[in-house]
Amino acid sequence: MKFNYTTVDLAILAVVAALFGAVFAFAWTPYYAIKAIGGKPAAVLLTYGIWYMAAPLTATLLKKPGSAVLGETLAGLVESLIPQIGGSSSLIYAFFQGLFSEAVYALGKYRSFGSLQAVLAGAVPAIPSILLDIFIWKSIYPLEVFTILTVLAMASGAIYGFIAYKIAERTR
Amino acid sequence: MKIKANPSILFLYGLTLTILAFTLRKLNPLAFSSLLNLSIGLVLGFRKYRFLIAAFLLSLVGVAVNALIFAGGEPVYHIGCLVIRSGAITGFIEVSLRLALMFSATLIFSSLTNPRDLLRSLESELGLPKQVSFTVSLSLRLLKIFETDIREIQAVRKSRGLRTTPITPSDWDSFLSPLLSLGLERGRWIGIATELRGFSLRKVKKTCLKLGFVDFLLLTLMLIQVLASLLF
Repeated sequence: MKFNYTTVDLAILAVVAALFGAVFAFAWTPYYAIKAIGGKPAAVLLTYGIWYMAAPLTATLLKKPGSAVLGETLAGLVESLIPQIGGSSSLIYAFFQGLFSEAVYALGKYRSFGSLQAVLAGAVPAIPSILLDIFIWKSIYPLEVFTILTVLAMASGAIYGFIAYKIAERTR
Repeated sequence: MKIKANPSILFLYGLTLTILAFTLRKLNPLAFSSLLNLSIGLVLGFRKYRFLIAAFLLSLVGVAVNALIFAGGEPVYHIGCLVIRSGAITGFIEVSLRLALMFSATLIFSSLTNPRDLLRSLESELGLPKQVSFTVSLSLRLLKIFETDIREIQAVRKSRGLRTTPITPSDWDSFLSPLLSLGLERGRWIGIATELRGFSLRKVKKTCLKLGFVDFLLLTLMLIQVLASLLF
């Protein structure tokens, strides 16, 4: 496996970044709607995985080293360049989420980009994501809440990781 | 009078503020940075970003509700059946200040520059690889197209009796598939067209980083806030 990206690969990365830049901004509507009806745990389970999808999707599409971290980080960068409440925080979240997803593919020495890797690459970004949440919200939520949220976010990520794999395989 | 600042310096300043929002542990330097930057941000962006400011204030209501429900500590006030605990007050103040610091970064950056100038500046002045700046600028151009696509898909879903806003994972599956399918087709052709125009051979013109009075002011402010975070 070589770290050589053609111009078509770069254009596909741009497509994923733009698509998820738009989807990330759009996903706040269902997140708040579910939160209002079913509370934060239901919202985390049903939506958090959407923010982790860019990495497994890009990796399944391009099957190249670095594609997971690039796909997630660029989507976060695009989201952070759009005027929004969170400033550059989406870039910071996306970078660490992408890095954890990338680790899944790197551990397998980039030999396989199958559904198992996509599920894991969708689930593990929950760890940095909730850790970063702790930096901001720890004065409000007790630690037990964060533990439950991590488990729910990982489950959500695994589901959406599999969906990302299915979509990528269907559309390639 | 139009204030001009180097987009790269503005981006670094915004990124520093966001990192400070995550890392500042003590309330005093956090309050200092938040209030200082929020004031600057509101002066610069109040007219242009009124809607965003309203959304930020609404998000603070959400923070207050969460603080009332989850935060612990001794009961301080009783308003009817509502008990306000000490942790809710300090938690609300701390989280609000952190969010305000992040939000002020958006106000300052978006009021003084735009993403296109930023990418040009990062590429020519700070040596960002052309592949990265190409990908991000193409994404920004495609973003509007995807927003239109999302609206079209919503209209199609509505006419077929499906939920327009996806809620379940299965909804997201059927929502994202056509978006990606359309996007990939565009992406492939854009990639081919760009390569045919000699993208790989294109050389980036490097220019020196030009700093003005506002840039030095921003760098000084950034230094003061980082030092304040380390010392206090």
